[in-house]
Amino acid sequence: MTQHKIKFIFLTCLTFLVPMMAWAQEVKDAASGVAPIKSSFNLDINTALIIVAALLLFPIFAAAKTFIIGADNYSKTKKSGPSNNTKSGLVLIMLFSSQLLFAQTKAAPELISGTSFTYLILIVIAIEIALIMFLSSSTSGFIHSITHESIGAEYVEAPSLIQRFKNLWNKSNNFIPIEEESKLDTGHSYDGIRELDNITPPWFTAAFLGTILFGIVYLYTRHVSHTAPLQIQEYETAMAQAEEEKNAFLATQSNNIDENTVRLLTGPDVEAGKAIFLQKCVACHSENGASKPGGVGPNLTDDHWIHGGSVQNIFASIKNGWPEKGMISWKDQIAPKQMAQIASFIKSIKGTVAAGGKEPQGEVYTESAAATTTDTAAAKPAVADTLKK
Amino acid sequence: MSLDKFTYDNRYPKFFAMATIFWGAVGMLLGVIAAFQLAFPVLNFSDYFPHIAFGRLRPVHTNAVIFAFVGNGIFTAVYYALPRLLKTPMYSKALSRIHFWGWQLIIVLAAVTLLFGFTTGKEYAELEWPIDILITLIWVVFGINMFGTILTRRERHLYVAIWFFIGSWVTVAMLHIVNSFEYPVSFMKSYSWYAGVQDALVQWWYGHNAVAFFLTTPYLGLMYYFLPKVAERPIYSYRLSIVHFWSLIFLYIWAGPHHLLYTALPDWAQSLGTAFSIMLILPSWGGMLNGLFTLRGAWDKVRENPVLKFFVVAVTCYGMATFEGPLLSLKNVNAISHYSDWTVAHVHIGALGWNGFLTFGMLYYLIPKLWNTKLYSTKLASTHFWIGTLGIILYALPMYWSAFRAYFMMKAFTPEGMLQYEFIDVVKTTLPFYIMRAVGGTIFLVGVFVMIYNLIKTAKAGSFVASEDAEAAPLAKEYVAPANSIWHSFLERKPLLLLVLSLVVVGIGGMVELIPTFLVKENIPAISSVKPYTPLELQGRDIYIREGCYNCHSQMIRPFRYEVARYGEYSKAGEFVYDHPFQWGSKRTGPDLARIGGKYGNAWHFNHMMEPSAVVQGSIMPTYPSLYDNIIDKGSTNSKIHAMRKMGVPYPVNYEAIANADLDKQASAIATGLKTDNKIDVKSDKEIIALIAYLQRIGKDIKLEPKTAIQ
Repeated sequence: MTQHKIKFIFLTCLTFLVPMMAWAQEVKDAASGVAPIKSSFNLDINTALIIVAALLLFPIFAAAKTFIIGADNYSKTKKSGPSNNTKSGLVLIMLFSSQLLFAQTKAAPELISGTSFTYLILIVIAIEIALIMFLSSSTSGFIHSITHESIGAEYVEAPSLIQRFKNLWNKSNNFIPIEEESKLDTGHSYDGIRELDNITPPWFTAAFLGTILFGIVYLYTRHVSHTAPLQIQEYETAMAQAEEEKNAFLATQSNNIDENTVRLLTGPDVEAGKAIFLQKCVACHSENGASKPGGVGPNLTDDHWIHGGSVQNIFASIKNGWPEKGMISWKDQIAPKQMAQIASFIKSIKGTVAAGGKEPQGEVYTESAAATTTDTAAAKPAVADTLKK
Repeated sequence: MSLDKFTYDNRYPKFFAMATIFWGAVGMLLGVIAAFQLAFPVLNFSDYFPHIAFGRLRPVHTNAVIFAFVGNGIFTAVYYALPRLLKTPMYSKALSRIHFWGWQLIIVLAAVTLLFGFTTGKEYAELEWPIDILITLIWVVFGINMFGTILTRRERHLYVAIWFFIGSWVTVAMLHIVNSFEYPVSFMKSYSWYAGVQDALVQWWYGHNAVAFFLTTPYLGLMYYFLPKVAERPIYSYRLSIVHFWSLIFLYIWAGPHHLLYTALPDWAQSLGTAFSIMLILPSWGGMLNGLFTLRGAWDKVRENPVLKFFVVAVTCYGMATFEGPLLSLKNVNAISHYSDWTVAHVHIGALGWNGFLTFGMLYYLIPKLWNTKLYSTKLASTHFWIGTLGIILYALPMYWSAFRAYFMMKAFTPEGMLQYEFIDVVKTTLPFYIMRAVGGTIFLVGVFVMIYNLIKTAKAGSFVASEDAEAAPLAKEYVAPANSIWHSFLERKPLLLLVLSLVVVGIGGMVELIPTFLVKENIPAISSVKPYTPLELQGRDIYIREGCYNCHSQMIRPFRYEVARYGEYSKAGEFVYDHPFQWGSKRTGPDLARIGGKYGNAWHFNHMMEPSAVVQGSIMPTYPSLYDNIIDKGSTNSKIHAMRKMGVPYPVNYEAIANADLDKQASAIATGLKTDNKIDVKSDKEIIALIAYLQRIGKDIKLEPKTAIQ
């Protein structure tokens, strides 16, 4: 009994440990992030797993052999039995395919990253173990029925699936039959409540030890060996990666517009600008762009501009904002192309609101000056002037 | 040997049970109202009065269901089970009476003061200092009554339920006292003794273990008494009881920092929180297993007996919640769940399933017993069971769903590297889920009313048994333990030793985490540009706390790309050194405010607090019209500054004398600015001015830091 229990605990711990090693490996890969460090541990675990997978082929082979012999014997004693040829054929196919899979993975390590390769071998091993279990249980089924028939005993129906689960459940909890529970009675009686002294389920003990192991590994990798990243390292890795992705994308786009190069856009771009305006700008400038008397933002539809009314000026205001007046800088939230679209939309709504908007603020901006604003050289001093104010 | 004759007093179990039912209904009703407020902001009624806006109502809901509903549930179980397990009456009728009425008084005071805005701003510990003291006194009364009973017992060994009662009592006392260290400013106002990161750690050490030692361990005691009683089965495993009791109380206390993952809390403390949370799975499950395995051989009864049905689902919910909790403590899972509706779903699985259903089961068993009759309708009880189960599911599922949708929207970037969604888009998306959740909660509450009807009918059919006669042999003076008794049975004979040992076991984790955070300077790297709040900002901060803004807004930006892009530079430990109390929050129904300072203009805030949905279309934030009428409480400025300096905030000596002058200067500058820039007419002595001053200050200091200091 105790031996069985120890074995069970050991096996459960092992099953906890194996994925954890793989996980530790993954974390390690993540930690190295920007500058991956190839450690010898990386090779070790995969090689070890390949060896395990290879070694498992021997018991598979042995079990398959036994299965075929068992099936042969069974069909000899029970002539009307199912064709054993198909069965042994099935086994051979399974054997073959698992080997094929194995061969494939063995050839693959250069193609697959260390982590997913580890997982792949683990899957192969799991399949192998399942196969062994299937073969051995079927073989013992044959042997069981043969012995029963040879001694003339009545054929015993194999237990149903539910019954098997029940048995497994009872076994893994180390349940004793309810009729025998009085043996475990502690003799306590508190207001009529008795207490048994069943042993703690072995899987419980094993899993508890497993979680403690997890805790130790977790703390060790983060604060002793420093193989797992702390949160600021994670953050920096993520930011660097995002920056790279963004730059890669922007390189394919004509998105590097700034307040010097921006041009008035038309058509669908103005529509796109309107959509963004309705999403981001209406809180302060109202839906029609005219704001309200006493509103936060200035009227964008009149002739007056506080910080200049050229498309370049407007682009600059959106991009850098005027924080002391309540206009935030949008450069981290809106892409340059989109800011150009919004600026173009704003230019397009001039004079669309007759009344009800905010009173005029700033200086009158006339389109006669617009001739110069298309000139990028002239736009710059205009921005600089407003900055001085 | 002659038998002692004595009686069990059934009046106090009855009183506590009635209080449980009453406060349960009230607390859950408040929860339903708060849930509907989120979906329909008009229900805040803030145009008429400020008292039941979500920020004030939600703390009343949480305090009511935790300390009033579950609290009275615990006392019901203790006052009923303890005498029977020890074969002696409760120690003192006077103490029982003080305990009962004292606790109800605390609840009423709590509800009233919270609605009127008296709060410390620390979740689940919002009550102000006079009530904190009252709680301590009543808790001591309860302790004396419990230990008096234990010491006059006629049963030599203590049953496992009593271990849990003892462990819970001593730990709750420790948690409450340590977390409630506060500096009184006036009769109903105080500041937490701790600041920033340290305050956060103490608060969540408390908050997490309030769940552990108020909602969990006493209820395990309850389960250990009522479940075997009703099932008429022996407890499955005595040694499992021992293993899971000690491992549970030892490990639980360490897990507090998992409420602060990815915050400015030092990494080592976060890692301890995660590691110990994972280790906590099996000790928690020990309780579930012992409960479910006790039903071995009694499952046929579960089909017929509604009490057992409630117990089975309660214990299963306990198992689910205590598995989910550790999963949420893994940092990569927590990245999704923190600040989200997932946490809300998680706690409600525990609260509605475990605490709610266990309480209902106990009441369905107890009321017929106390009134010496049969349950009025088993069928109605079964109906309640199904309504309740449906309510839990309809509550939890929308919350899970909304949490994931919100997460994927929050972290979505366009290829240009820009955030794809505004915060308000997320709010609009989650709104339907808030409605569904409110409906789920309503269904659960309907079940409670079905139960109340059933129990009233039951009580009316029977007659109350005020006292039950019992007899038992007194304990012999001499006792020789049998040779085969295990070591633990020694402890079961020594209640005071058990008490001390429990305190030692729960003390370890707290000390290892708290002491270094307070003593080791490297844990909170100083930032030279972080300065104390001005008097006006301090007043504004107290308004922020009073209105319970922390219930929906966090002030803690985590180091994630999608948070930094949305809110600004991630928060640093050194930024919070003058925050008594910390206001990091735990839920983002609204956006984070850790860098709100300077983001918008004063006029934006002015308009926004008046009518949030006019400024942010689709906003579900309540309006705050009272801030435009209320006058800043300048009379308190001096004592506030004084209290802060006493706790180490470096205001100049005698700054109190000129504090209000500074306050006036800053306030009129804001009012003048609003007038000239935005044509807004507002007197400079209104509360809105102070609140704007505070909001404009949050998270700004770090930007003033000399650039060379970085790296």
